[in-house]
Amino acid sequence: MEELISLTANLGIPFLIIVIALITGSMIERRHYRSIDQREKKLGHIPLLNSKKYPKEDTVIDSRFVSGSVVISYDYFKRFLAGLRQIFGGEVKSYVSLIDRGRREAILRLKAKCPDADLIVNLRVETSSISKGKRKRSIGSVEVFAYGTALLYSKT
Amino acid sequence: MERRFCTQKRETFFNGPNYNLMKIVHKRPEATADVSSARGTAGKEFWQLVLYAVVLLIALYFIIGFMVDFVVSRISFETEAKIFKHYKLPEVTPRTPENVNHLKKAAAILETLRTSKKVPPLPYHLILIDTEESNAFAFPGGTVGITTGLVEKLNDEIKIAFVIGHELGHFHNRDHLVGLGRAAGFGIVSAILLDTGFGTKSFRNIIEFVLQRSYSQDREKKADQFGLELVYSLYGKVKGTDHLFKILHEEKKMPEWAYMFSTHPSPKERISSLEKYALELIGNKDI
Amino acid sequence: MIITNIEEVPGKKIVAHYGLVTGSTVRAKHVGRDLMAGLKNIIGGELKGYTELLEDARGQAKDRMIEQAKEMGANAIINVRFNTSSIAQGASELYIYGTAVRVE
Repeated sequence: MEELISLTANLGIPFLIIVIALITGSMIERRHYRSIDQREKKLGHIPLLNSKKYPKEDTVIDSRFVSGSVVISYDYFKRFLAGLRQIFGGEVKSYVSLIDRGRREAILRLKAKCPDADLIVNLRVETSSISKGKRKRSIGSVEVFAYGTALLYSKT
Repeated sequence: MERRFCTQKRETFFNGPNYNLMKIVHKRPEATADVSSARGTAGKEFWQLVLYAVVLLIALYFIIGFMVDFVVSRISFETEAKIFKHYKLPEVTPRTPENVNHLKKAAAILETLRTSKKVPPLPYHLILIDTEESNAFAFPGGTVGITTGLVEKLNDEIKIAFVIGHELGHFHNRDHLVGLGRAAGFGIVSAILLDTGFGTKSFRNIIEFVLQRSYSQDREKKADQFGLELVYSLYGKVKGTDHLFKILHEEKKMPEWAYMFSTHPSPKERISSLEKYALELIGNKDI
Repeated sequence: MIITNIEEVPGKKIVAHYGLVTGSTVRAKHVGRDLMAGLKNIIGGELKGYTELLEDARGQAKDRMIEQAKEMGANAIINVRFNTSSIAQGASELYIYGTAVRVE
């Protein structure tokens, strides 16, 4: 009986955690992407440029600095996949979609601050890993920070 | 003539700056290349990586196994005794006078058993392990450990002789050294190669566990066979050798399927294979 | 595809701006490379394995950005910026972004 208990504790519980993380993680990701897609459609009318020069410079009547940021964390399943991936090397696909979510979310938050803007110029995106920790198993998270200048053209 | 001013491949010819004001055509990409390749592929990647890792671990396990077997086959019993001369386990003083008697009896049986030619020449030494659980162990260098729980339950010479004979079988088959070597080798290699992040360690444990289990169950049966043959050659009878397994069966209360994950076969299975050996040995499966 | 990291494509007239295009990848080095790098760390110098890996990853991110720009119908990307960050133990992220434009 004791053997059975230690068996469950050593093998069953990690397996269970990973399965739960897989299910909830992919559910959350799917939901997040759905909301991102929706909001991108809603705010899609504001073009983004990462250049400093922009058309019709003489008709700009207002400009404002805007920024958006988000901190996003890896779930257990993604971390497990990344751990396995590090044995063989190659692209860590589970992290790509995670950071992509973060980046689009940050840009959406930036846009949401100026929904009436005609154009956002000189957009910069910064990605940095925060609370990575020294230990291998500590929780890691990524911050995405997007900033740019929102412009308003005169309507005439 | 094109002047080389930069080793980077030139993608266009520059004629001079000409900046014009431009219009904005707002377009959104239909599918972002990086995400469409990564979105929703977690399941596929998971199975692919798990498959790779399982193959890698099995290969590692067998390579290490062969290496350890080779090294162990080169170590003679004298060398083993020399290496583990200073490897001593803490002695336990028996709690009851009964235990003292049991221990004396067991030690005397060990002395009888070691006279057999089959038993490898090691400096044997019997120690008591203070726990209620019924178990016995073979430690490197010739130390046989027996739990107080088991000593109390075994009242017959043949029964004790079989338990000790089983452990002597492990010494004969070098199971303790092989087990030690495999655990150390697998531990070192996987700590370097495979401990790359969260969860990989428990994943490694699962594979190691399953591999170890099938290998170990086979070894246990071989040790059972050795114990039976030893008892028969010295005492001329094998009645009572299955007593240990009856005790284990009552004690563990594990369902039969759970032994799939155990290092030892189920007591029922061990009894039936013991009967088979007895039939081969003495033409009679009465044990 | 013309790629520049300045505001314009010299010698060409920009006729339309299509907006932001991005490409990214997260790469992990395999354990063997890690071990070699660990040894190299003792004596110092260039870690060729890592240089190659990051260069390769950057190329992939760039290809993805170009693919996006092509999809939009652009023929040039201006003001391209690279961003490399280590997002977790042993995994680096390469991010590249620029503005897709059409030039004459």
